Order: sequence, then structure tokens, then C-alpha cells
Amino acid sequence: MKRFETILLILACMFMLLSSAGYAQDMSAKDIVREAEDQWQGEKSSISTMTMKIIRPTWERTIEMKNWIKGRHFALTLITGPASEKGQTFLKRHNDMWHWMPSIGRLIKLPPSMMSQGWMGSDYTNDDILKESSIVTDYQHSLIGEEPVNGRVCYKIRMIPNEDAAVVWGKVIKWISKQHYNQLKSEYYDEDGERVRTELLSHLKSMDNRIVPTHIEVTPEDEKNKKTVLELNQIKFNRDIPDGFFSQQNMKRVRP
Amino acid sequence: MPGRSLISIATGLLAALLLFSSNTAMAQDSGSNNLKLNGYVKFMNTIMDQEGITWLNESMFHNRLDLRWYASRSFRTGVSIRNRFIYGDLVESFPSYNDLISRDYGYFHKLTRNLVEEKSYLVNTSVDRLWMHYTHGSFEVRIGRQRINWGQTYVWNPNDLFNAYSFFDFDYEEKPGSDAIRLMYYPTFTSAAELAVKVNRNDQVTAAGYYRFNQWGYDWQLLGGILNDDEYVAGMGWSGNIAGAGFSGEMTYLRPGKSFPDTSGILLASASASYMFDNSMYMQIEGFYNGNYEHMNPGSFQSYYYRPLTVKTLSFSKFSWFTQVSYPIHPLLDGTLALMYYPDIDGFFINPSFQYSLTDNVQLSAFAQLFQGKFVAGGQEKINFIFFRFKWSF
Repeated sequence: MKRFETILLILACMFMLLSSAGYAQDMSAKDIVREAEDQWQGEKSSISTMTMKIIRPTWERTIEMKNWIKGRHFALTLITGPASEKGQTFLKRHNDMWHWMPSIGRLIKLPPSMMSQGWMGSDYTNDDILKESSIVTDYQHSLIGEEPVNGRVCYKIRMIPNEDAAVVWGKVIKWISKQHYNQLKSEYYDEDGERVRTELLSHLKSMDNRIVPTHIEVTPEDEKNKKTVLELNQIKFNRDIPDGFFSQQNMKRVRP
Repeated sequence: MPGRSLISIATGLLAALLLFSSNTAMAQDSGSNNLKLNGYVKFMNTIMDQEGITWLNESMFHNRLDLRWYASRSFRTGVSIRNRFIYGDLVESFPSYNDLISRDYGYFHKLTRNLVEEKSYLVNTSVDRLWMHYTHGSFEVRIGRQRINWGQTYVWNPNDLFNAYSFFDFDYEEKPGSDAIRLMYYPTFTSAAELAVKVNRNDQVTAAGYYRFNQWGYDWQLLGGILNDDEYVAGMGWSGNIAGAGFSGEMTYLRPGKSFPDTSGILLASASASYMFDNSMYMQIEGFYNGNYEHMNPGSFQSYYYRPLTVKTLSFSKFSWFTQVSYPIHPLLDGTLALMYYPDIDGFFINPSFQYSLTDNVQLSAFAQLFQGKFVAGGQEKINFIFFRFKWSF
């Protein structure tokens, strides 16, 4: 895996963590989704370390990183492994993104085409998130039932994107646990109604006094033997991170 | 001998840090460690094929050590050492090869030395980073051998006044450093101002200021100063996007300081675009105008290939064109094809490469560099290189 592949993966993780901070008026299904979103991403900010494994039948590769996320607009990611990649940082401020490569002392502004890439062969793109789409405000939600996922009772919620929302999905179905509002499963459908990928979240643990899933498996529909696993090693919620933390100066000096 | 003592100081510092690190933090990655050692070991085999000469073969073991000590929140220091053991036909066939390998263009040029020079092999060591860095709020200062990288485009960087580098020297990923003092100031979260002064091997001073800011979704930069004692330099560069494609460029204008009124200046300019397609194919194109072309008179491709690059000798053609396509043939295998075209010498450069990830830390690569062109001085020239490389990072 060379540079660009790595960059794409890092961006995907970064965007996944950005919180949506939406305000909606109607109740029930939307509130459940909002609750789940806050539960996972922190109402204000999160600091996390994670390991991403790309798993194929005959091989496996690992990337480790630390993420600092504040609201929807600020994110800083530091690669902590493997050896050949570590020390690189990525900064997102609103719609601008930069990549710092310490070995050659170079700061690169990333073009949008790199941010709108599919993730590991799936149709998942970062684009909709970068365009500030939110699972809370950009969808119409309806509660369509209750179902268990891994033995936990979940709300089953259908999400149809608003017409003007910059969302690539035709439909999303989420299973959110009743007990801790954890998103335990998500299915993503394209505009023809075909399922394109499934996310399964498990291994619930208490981190920073919150129950969160620490194991996330992403499987694209058309390639079942491909799998990307994200392991959350540590997460802290709602620490005060000044806006100045998300700066080009800090990109060059931030440490794990 | 001042050179020898310098290199001893650097080596001693490294040894001391290593010793210290072995007790405290060796090869650990947790946040509390203040000492970091990284690097790699590479083995590379080079085959050179030139018209009229039989194949020449060169092998190299190449080790890099990057040591960083984070003494406090505000103070850090770094040493990087590059060690090479080279053997094969090139060492044996070219008497000047030893000098080429040991040459260092910095003020502390004795930081690069051939420790052993034998008929068929040589051992070279080079301290290419040796700096102290102090941070005070938005102000920072870095003193010592360091890389100052102001480039925005991919191949030809007219804005890179301090550390011009050659695209051909792909194996030297980190590029050489400058012996310099650099002041940095960050007025906002997305802008930077720098002031840097370097002295080279011939005691020539390059001093320049730089300001980069973000506006309208673009990064912009302005710079100005003096290059190697006697040339005034002004430049600008940008990095942004058009319809999703990355779009960046650089321009630098140079004018001799002596007899300023009656000499004309030269312009160097490059522009590049990059785009990543939905299938992860990444494409780059770049063009370069070299206003210094008439003054260069490069004798041959080889002289250019090995010569020290300055911002004024970035290419040996008035116009140069570049395109590169990278594609993940398999998630573990990347293929890249780079092409250059030099209309003024009717020349081209073809550079296919493959990189295979064997494990998280081991990479196998194969590269080819095929060059053909017609120099005024030397006539038609054809030269090909093939490289195989093994790299283990730690």
C-alpha cells in the first residue's frame, strides 16, 4: 500500500469521526439518531487512537493513528504506524485539507478529488461528509421496528436523504441499541435500492465513562471476502481542544 | 581537522542519544517517550546501460537513522545519518565516483565523508540533518542542517530556493538539507511566515523571506531574497483546485545583483495539475519553463543526472513536460509510469516503477529510467537504468 491508498484510508477514518452537531425539531426517530451520533462522536470533541486493519483472504495490513476531532469542521490525524508512514499528519479545517510529510518537510494541500474517493472498493465516499452532510439533518428518519443485533434490542430506523442533501446513498438503515444508543449496524443502499455495504459494530466497552463499540467491520456487498476492521483503542469525549490546536503549526509538532 | 571533529560530534551525539534511549525509550511508541529512533535499511541494485558500453552493475546497502529528542514542549532536536556501502562496476570504473558520493554542498561539508575508499567498494556516511528547534507560542526557530521546502508543484520547484532536488534521484527520499538558520512565525492557523539564511560550501549566502496564506480556497505564497550572494530573487506560488483537480504553480524571477540596471533577469515557472479518478488512478501533469536555459549549456544527460541541482538548473530544456499515472494494480502493488518530454533537445525520459508491499514494514520495488536526447555539445545520447530495491523500515 503506497501513499495515496494510505491517505484515502486516513481521510475515511477522519471523516467518520467528525460529529454532525445538527438541530432538528421533530422527535422520535431523528432524536434517536442524534442521540446515537452524540454518543459515538462526542457532543463537542473526541480524542481517539485506533488501528485499522485491511483484511483479505491471504494478507492483512495495518495502519495506526490518533485523531483529534472538534465538531464538524476541525480534525487532525497523526499516523503512528507503520514505521514507513508514521509522523505524517492530516489537517481538516472546514473545506480545506492539508497533508504534512515530515521526512521531506513538505506541506501539501489536498485536492478535493482525493477526498471524494471510494473507500476500499466500496461505494462509500468521503465526499458527502465533507460537504457537511449529517445523518441527523440531511435525512428523513422513520422508526420501522425493533430488532436485536448481537442480542441487543435495537431501534431499526430507515433514513431517506433529503432531496437537496449532498448524499450518495439512496437509503440507509441503522440499528441503534435501546440501552446506550449505540449504532450497532448500518446498511447502505444505492439509488437503485441495492445494498452496497454493511457496517457492523461490536465489542462494547466502557471508555471515558461511556459504553461504545470498539470493533467496526465494514464489508462491501459485491466483495464479501474484503473487510476493513477498525479497532478503537482509546477514546476521550468532550475535552476542551482550542481551535488553535487544528493549525498548520501544530500539524508539524503534534505527538501521540 | 574541523570536518572530522564535526562528524565526531554528530556521531557522538547520536551515540549518546542512542545509549540514553536504550535505557529509557528504545523503539517504544507510547506518548510519554521523548526519544524516537526511526529509519530504514535498503538494498538496491542498479544496472546501467549506455550505448557503446557494456552493462554496469552497482549494489548498495543503505541505512538511515532518524533520531529525534523532544526535550520539552518547546525544545526538540534531531540528527539523521545516512550510511551507504557501495560496491560494483561504477566504483571500479569511474575514478571520480568517490568524489561524487562524498560531495556535500553545505557549509559544514565535512558532514559527508567516505569512511572507506577501496578500489571496488566504498563506505560513505552523511549527516544530512542536525538541528535544534525552539518553539515559543507562534514563533519557532530552527538552527542547523535542515530541509527548507517551499515547493508547491511535484517535479520542478522554482520556489524551492534552499533545497532544489532532482526527480531522478528517487532513492534519496529525504533529500539533502541546508546549513541554515530559519525563523518561523504562524500569524493564523493556516498561514506561515519564514525567514531563512543558509551558507553553502563556498561561503555563499542565500537569504530569503517567505509568506504563505490561505485565501479563496487556495494556498498562496510570496517570497523574496538573495540567492548565493549575488542574485535578487522574487517568487510566488499557489496551490488550489479546479473542478476537483489539484492545481498548483510556482514562479521565480532572478536578477543578478551586480550591474543591476543593465542586465536582464530570468524567469522560472512551473504549473501542475493532479486528479484522482474514481478507480483510484492518480494522474499528474506538469509543465516547466526554464528561462535560464540559454546559460546552462549542459554537456550530457549524465552530467546533469549527477550534477548538484540549484533552482537555476532544474531542467536542461527551455520547456519541459511531465505526466505521471499511478494505479493500484492490486492493493499491495502500485504501478506508476512517469514520462518527461524535452522538446528543445528532442529528448524524453520514461520511468516505469512498481512497488510491492511485502509486509507492513517491507517493500520491494523495481524502477526503470530510460533517457534519450540530443545535446548540442554531446550529440545523441541514450542511457538506461534499472533498479531493484528492498526496503525495511523501522
